[in-house]
Amino acid sequence: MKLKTLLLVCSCIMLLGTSSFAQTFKVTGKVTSKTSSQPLEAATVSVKGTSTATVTDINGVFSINVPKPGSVLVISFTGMANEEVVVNQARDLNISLSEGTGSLNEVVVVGYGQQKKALVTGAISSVKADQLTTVSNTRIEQALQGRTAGVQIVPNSGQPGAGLSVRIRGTGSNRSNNPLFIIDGIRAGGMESIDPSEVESIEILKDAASAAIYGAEGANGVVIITTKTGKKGTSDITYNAQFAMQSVKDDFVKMMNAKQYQQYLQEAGVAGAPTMSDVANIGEGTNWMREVLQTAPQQHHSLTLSGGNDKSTYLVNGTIFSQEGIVGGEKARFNRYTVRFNSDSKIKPWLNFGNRLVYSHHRRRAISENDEFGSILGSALVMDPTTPVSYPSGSALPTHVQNAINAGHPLRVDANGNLYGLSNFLKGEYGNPLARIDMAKGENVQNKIVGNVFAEIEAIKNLKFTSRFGIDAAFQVGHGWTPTFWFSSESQNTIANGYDYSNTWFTWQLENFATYTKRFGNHSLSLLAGVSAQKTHEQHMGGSYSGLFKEEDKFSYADFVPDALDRIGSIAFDRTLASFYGRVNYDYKNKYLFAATLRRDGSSLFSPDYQWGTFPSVSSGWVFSSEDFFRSSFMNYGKLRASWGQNGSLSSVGLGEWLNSIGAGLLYPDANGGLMVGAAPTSLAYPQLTWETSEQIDFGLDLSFLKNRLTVTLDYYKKTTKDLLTGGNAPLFAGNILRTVNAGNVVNSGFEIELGYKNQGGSKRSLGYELFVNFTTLKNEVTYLDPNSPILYGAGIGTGWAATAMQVGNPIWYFNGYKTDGIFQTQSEISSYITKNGLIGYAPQPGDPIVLDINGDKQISPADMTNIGSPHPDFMYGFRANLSYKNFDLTVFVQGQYGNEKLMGFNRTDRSTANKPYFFYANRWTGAGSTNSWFAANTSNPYIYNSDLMVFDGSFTRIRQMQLGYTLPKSVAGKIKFKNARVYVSLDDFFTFTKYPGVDPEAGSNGGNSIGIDRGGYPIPRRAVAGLTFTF
Amino acid sequence: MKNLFIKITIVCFIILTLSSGCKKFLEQEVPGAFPEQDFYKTDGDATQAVYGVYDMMQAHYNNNWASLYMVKTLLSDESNAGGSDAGDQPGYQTLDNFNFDATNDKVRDAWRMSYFTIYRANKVINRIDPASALRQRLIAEAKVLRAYNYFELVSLWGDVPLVLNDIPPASYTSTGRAPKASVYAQIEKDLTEAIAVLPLKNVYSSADKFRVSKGTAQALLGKVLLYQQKFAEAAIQLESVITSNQYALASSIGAAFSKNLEFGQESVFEISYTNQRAYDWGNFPWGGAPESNIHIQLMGPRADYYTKAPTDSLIGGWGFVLPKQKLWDAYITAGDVNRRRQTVMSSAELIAAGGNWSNPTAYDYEGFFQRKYGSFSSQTGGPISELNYGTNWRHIRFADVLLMAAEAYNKSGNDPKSRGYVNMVRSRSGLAPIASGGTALFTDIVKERQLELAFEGVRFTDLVRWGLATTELGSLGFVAKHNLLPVPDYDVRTGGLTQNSGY
Repeated sequence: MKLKTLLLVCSCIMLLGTSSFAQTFKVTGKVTSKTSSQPLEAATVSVKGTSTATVTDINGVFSINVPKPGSVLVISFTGMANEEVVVNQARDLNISLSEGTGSLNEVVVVGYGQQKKALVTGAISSVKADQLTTVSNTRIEQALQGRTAGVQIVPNSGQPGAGLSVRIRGTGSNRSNNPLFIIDGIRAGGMESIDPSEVESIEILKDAASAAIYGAEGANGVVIITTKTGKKGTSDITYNAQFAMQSVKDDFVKMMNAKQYQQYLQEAGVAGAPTMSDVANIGEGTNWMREVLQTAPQQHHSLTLSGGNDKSTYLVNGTIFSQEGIVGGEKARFNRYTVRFNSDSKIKPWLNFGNRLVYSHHRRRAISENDEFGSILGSALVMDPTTPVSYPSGSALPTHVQNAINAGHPLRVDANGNLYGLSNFLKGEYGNPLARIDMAKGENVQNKIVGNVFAEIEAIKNLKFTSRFGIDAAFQVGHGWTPTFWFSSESQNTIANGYDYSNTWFTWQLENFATYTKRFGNHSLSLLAGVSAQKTHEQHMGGSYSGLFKEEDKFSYADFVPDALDRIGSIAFDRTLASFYGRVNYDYKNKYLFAATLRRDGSSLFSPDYQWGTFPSVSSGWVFSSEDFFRSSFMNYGKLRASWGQNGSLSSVGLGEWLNSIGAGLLYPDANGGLMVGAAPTSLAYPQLTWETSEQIDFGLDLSFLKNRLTVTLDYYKKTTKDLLTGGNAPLFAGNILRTVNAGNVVNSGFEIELGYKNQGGSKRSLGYELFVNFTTLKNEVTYLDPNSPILYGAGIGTGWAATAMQVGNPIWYFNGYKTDGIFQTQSEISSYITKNGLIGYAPQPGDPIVLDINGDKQISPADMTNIGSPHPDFMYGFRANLSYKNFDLTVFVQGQYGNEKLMGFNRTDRSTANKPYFFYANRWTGAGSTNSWFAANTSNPYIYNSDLMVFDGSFTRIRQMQLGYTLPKSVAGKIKFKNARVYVSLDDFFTFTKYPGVDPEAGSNGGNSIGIDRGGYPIPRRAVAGLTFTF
Repeated sequence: MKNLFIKITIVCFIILTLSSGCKKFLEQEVPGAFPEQDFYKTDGDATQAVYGVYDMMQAHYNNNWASLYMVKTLLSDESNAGGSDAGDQPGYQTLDNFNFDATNDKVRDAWRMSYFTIYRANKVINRIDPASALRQRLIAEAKVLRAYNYFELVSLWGDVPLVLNDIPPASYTSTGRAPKASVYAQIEKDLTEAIAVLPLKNVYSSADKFRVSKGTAQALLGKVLLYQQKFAEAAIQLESVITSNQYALASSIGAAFSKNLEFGQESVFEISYTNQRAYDWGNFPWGGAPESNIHIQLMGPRADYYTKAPTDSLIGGWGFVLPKQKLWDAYITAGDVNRRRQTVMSSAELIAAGGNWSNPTAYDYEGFFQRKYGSFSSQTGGPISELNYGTNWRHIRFADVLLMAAEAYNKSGNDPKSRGYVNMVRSRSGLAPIASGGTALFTDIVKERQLELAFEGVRFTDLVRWGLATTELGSLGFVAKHNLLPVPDYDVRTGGLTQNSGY
């Protein structure tokens, strides 16, 4: 309906446009680029206020009939600032255009092409290189945090080299929510190999219409990364160096000290807890978090050589990045080296040829974290404070340590030969975190080549054919070993063991597409059609072995253990994707805009009858500021946009997940102990398995005021993800698992606002400033699940709590637990509560929380667990201010989110002697009337630890960057032959404002179904940074 | 010049067309997947498929933290759940305390694993052409295993879905629960057919002794008939096991549970595990189906507090299944010393032998440790003893057959024969013969089964079928509804099954 109206309006306007005037005269001219002095082909020259327009030829030359003297010629070219010339008579003009400054003149990269931002009909955010040059982040995704509306980037951890979860417009899947990453036109397997200094621009395609050209892979949005290339007529060497010191605020998570710990456990009546005498002479005991935390260095260097002439350009870039961990130091180190070579050559007037190629090498060591089952970080959090870090040699050993020695257990010794402290109270999977760090021996090494070669052929005028062949090949090997240790019967290793693995991912991709662009008078048409084929080969091998001859690195390989103790596994498989796609862009006088795309994808992941899918989209825009009736000196640009489209998500689907097949490798020992091999079907069949499909509508408004100084973008979006891949739900008596079915819908909706204000500062002496604000609201709701399984349970915490769930009417993976309503103060209050609600089998004590009987069955049982919080923010925001005065510049960049909750998941009910945060002690109920908000000392009550008492406000505001820079004056720089030189100091991620009392409001936010659970994750370090950058 | 452009364009479009659109391009193999329709054809397939059924039995009773063994044991008055505290494995804790409901994960998984075993057995029975003697025997084995699982289901849940073949998705909600009688009829049919085919135990090679034999099928049929109170018919089946000359009592109950006598003289049906897999902390398949019996580690005295006596081989574990005072007292009252020592140990005995228990107030602890399925260092293997217990589950022992026969004879009026079998069992443990008859003899058999078969997963269903559950378990929270377990809520929802009353 909307489309029809638009078309009708279009045709009416077209009719009007045909009227003509007398007194015409001819103006000719040449349009060139101010920076390169090269002629600009296909620049638009139009007479303002009329429909008369023409485009320049290959030499930048144009000729136009001007209706009357005093007419204004508008010369425009994508990426350049418009130029206006008043013409009174026939003449020959020489017009040079300069690079555009206003965002509307920007060109944005879209799928298989680029578009002038003013003419875009979808919702696309872009981030340019200048914002990324001085970031101190390891990974490019992290550098995007808070920069654009609608994009939430959550680090999985603060550990060097850790991955991130990128969610565009909310969590739409119960599996992978990561968008499709395209680097220079080729699908990328991962982002860890890209150094921020290599990036020219990043475009985020948020709405379905923009992403639909990527069809079956675009459901979670698309991030397009364009790397830097050389510029014609330049010859530059640029060097960046950056040094950072990482640290964490002291006591950012405060645990109980020895005395508080002893008292708390005693009050809680914990068996096997320390007594008063155990803590009599040890003061506050050990502050384990303080012990494991350290400052850690980070450095980053990049050297870029670039240049070019008329025919070809080149760019060579090399980077070194090295980061140690604030926990674990060099045991958590991430080193990355990259070399890039990009070139473009105009071999023939009709042929452009080029390549984009990067090699990266990284080495990553990591320590275990974010796991309540005895990870190093988990152990550091809850280790009992009565245990010393180590026992100085010569000191008397506690009985339990002496007993362990007598029993011949392999106790760990530190670098000085002192025995590491051994807890007599906290056992289970935990162990002395410093000893565990000391023991960590593992490294992952990856070599990766990502690149493509391409040719652009303009065979016929206006018809450009592009062929691009790319590879993404990652080769990963890992090695590690575990020495013998003994912390308790449940945390021990009595035989040193090692592992090796090797993973290969090799993807090739061939893209062939043709673009036809033509202007007919006021009508501008662009057609795109293409095909793509992609194949991924994966090969994985892993082995483990035990019985190291000596516990040393050089003996930690399988060659040096008895063969009988080796174990090996391997697998290899291929995945293919074939695609056809097309796009139509049409505009009338740059005023009425229309675009439609269609993609058809076939994927080998599905059964033969369900391999193909079709993904359409349409979008349109109206630049109402170009209407004759629109006169405003205040607002110089205004555009309304609307789009609709569908996309798929293949990343969530496993190979052969639909298939029922015979799996071998079942084992059964016969009566002589020989292992017999059995076989059976691995699952029930579900041949109709298909991808998740997201359908999205978007309404947008782009406005510019005050000669583009103030820009505003508003969007409303509603994204419905259908056919969610959920665990199968055959009744158990069907006898086998139904692995995966399509049964679930999730809706994400909200508003996005981006505001920008630029005041460049007229002269060198005045203050220049730029302000950017973005704001996103988010509402997430599950709208459908298979009625046969109305609740899906997600992540567990500890030994039996299904802590996240999915249910219609609730946000995806909400926290699932007991709802409480204050604390029982007296026995009589308990009695009356039980009587009032007719409860049976419920016997709390004063000081316990009042648990609500949600399902009304007169029992308090796991069936009463309900939605006790959402990990999804209500809104997110970013704010950036760039100030410049004389040669100084200051950037302040703030990011935050509001309304999400965090679940503190590192306290386990089955590990009563684990330490707890200090506020558990400080806020505890100590008798009738003491408090109604926090419980009496308790370590094991599931009505406490599996309840809303563990849910906290996870809102935070983080000052991502405060950077002060000084640019050498041109006069000085010129003397030392520098084109540009700048030094800066910066505080990155330094200040965080949050009420969350756990480790970090961001850390430990794994993706999948474990969003927002803090299991003792690695904190995000703050960084004090100094750097310099110069070009000559 | 223009011609060249056109040519290039044409060539490019040809490349482009060739590179895609090929159907073949999308045909990629799934590694490790053999099409089901091509399997179940050969003797080799049949042999592997039957190993597959045994494999599921092995997983069934050793599923990570949800086994039918634990479900049945915790419902009895033999032990408390134990573990570190009330939050350790809530599903087990609620079974122990009779406050479980239809969402209990252990009940659900026990039900699930029964049907998963039946599914694999069904494939063997339906898909394999019985063209050779080997295949006929393998099908008969599958029938016994199917019958065994249906017997577990019918005795714990009553009416259950009777699934004898693949269920198409359209029938998920129309399958429903079959009456107990038809489930029993199917069990009897399967066993009768299997008895006709299966060999005696001694016909199997030493390696094949793990397989169900004619004796297994007869013993199970006897048990099935006993549960239906068809006493005379039960006696016939059990008697044929006893007189088959295939089985004898071991020298002591400890010997019957020793490593040496796995699949030995007293073994009628056993599920096999191995201590030879060399699991270490780095490669143990947590969440998978290990070949070792991790439940033995689960049931060992909690290592945090336990110090073993120097001469004992019972080593520390994770402290589940802590014996109750009631069981201890039953042995004491009966003057049953030898059998008790091999079943339960008191902390006093531990300390007297030079060991120690440091936490008298440990969770669910009443002062005793379980030794029948004990965490003996002799049962486990290297490199990590905690992870390599090879202890087999004794599903049907000859002593059980004798006591079931005794019960069948007592109920069908042959007390002398009944007493004889009871006394065989008693004399093995050095206990004086009994001379009772009639209901007094029945009461003696009840006591004898309690003491002889403690921790073997039979106490709960025995009490239920004898109508003694309320008397014996009432103080623990047992009420009438607990005669049957709840149908897992999951299947009530997905399969439209009716729920047992009271849940």
